[in-house]
Amino acid sequence: MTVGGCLAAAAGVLLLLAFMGFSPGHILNLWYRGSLGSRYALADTLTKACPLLLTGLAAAVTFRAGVFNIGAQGQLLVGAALAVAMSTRWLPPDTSPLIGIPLCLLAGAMAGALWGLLASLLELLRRVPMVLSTILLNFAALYLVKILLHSFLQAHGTSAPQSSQVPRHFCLPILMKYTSLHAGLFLAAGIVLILEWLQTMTVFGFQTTAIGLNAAAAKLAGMPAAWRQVQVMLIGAGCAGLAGAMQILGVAHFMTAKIGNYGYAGIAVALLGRLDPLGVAVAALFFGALDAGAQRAEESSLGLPHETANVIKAIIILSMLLVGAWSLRRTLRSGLARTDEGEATGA
Amino acid sequence: MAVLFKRFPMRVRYLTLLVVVLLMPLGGTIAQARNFRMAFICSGSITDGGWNQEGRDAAVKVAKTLHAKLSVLEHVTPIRASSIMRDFVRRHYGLIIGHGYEFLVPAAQTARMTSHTRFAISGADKVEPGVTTLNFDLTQPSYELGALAAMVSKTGKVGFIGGEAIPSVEACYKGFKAGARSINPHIRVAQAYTSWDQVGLSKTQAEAFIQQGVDVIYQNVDAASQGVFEAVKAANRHHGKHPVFVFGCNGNQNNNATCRRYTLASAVIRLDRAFMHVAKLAERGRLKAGIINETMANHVCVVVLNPILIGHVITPKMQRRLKLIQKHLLAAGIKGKH
Repeated sequence: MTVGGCLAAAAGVLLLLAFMGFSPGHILNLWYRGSLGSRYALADTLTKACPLLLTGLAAAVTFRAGVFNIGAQGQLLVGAALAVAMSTRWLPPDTSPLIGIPLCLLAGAMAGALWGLLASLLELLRRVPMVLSTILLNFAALYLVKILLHSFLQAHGTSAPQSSQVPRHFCLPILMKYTSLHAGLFLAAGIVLILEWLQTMTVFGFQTTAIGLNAAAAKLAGMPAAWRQVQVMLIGAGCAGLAGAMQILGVAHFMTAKIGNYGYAGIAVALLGRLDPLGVAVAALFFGALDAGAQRAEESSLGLPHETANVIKAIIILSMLLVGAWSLRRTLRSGLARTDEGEATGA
Repeated sequence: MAVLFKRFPMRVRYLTLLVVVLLMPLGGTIAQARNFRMAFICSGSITDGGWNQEGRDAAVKVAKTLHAKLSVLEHVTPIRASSIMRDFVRRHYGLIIGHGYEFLVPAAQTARMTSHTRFAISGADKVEPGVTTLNFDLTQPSYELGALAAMVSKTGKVGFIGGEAIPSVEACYKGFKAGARSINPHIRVAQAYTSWDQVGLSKTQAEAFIQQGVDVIYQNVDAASQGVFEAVKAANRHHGKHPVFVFGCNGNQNNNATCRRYTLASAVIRLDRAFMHVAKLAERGRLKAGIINETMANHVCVVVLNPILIGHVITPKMQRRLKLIQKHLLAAGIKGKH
């Protein structure tokens, strides 16, 4: 996310807004006020960033090891469904929140991980391409959840496809009144730090990066490539499942099949964060701010259409990615040039 | 400055950015209450030509009449709804209209934390504490449409396409089926649920119905209704002799650009009436939690016949019969005999 990217994005957005007859300055002001303009706006940004952070990590961790997990959406859905099942059906209502909340979160993460494991097993045992299986498993998860919401998970006394409400004592504590900012944010931040440590300070991290760069070479060097990729999938999919569970226990407190496209957005978050856990955290915050700001701009009397807000978000993200890719290429080129120079001097 | 910044490793740069962003908004204040403010949120697009668009138009009309400030948010998922509602509560909105049953639970959750904001949820059939539920009962208008379908149908087969099997849509099907059977006890009523916004899916479903011999289709699929209209238009272009007809729902779709010559009538919810009623009560602080049944009796849920088809397709005899059915419905409900 460079200064160039910001400038390119801003120019694109201003042009589009002016072209559509809106006052660019006013819209950008609304956008800022909705995302970072007050502590409530910041809380909204953080709330929106939380699931994106976890699904971004789900993509980043796996992509880094060369595992193209496009299935975070499905993993998020099954994670959310299992958290709902645990909190509304399986756990006795008098269970202590100290046991109940961690159990529900764990159930969500485990469900996501197991859903991801299916794709890994399909690739390992039957050579089904990971991209294909994870995409298809997203649909399988969606329809499975729809079936559950019409049967086992359905709330009593309504024919609407939605779950019962999570008992209040199983909901994650809210950190600020009038917002949905919940304590799960700390857990997500902790996971970022753990993954950062795992990636930069451990043999596991080194091996997964090496496998991601060249799996064949890593195998030749004696690294357990297949096993590491399965482990990475379990971690990534677990993060996505946890995101689903957190959305249920922290924000919505009930479930419908329309949970939001956090799984797919996570891929863009991961790419913008350059597959680095800390970078993903910043990118998720940026996406959260974009979402929160768009909401304020949409609801204003100017009536910025939802589609326009989405186009603006897309322009900003594309500009960031393009300028990022361009600067990376320039860095690589200058690095290569320096190497050639060094070799020439040495010769 | 930029050069200095670039000297640090990437991780330090990320952390610095994070800290700067988090410190930016310190010192924000809570918005102060001013005039009456109302918010309208819906889960679909406000240009869907059906449920959501009608709702938004009604909210705009009400806001203009009451000189209220209106905020509209579309494409709101139920998961996001509670945080959005809390934000409106914080900003002292007087009324939040959630347009769809899916907002009932978020509204009930948010209603616990406020006494100044009222919540009205349209299209739900359940009572939740602190929330006013607007139950639009389209069963009776659908019954009337069912009766008309049975009178018009030459094949004895009619069909219903819904966006999703939710209470309000299922009520339409039940009413339609009962109405059709009241005229022709042997009529076949096909039923399918597709999507609210996938035009292709609803078109394919309508084509499948038409191939099975269905010649009157009642649809409640909002933005996807365009697909049904296109299928009906194409069928009438090819078959000619046995026309296929369609009904609109939620809004008045008689005047749709695709096949208005084959749109018999629409089951219309006059949302502006319903919203005006709750908004006026909310403005005075008198809106009570509970359920408000909006029916044919209070002229909120009505049938609007297509004027260009009255006389030749909808014959005077049919009209007389429909009026009789309407009378019976209002007097004895759906179980009365006609």
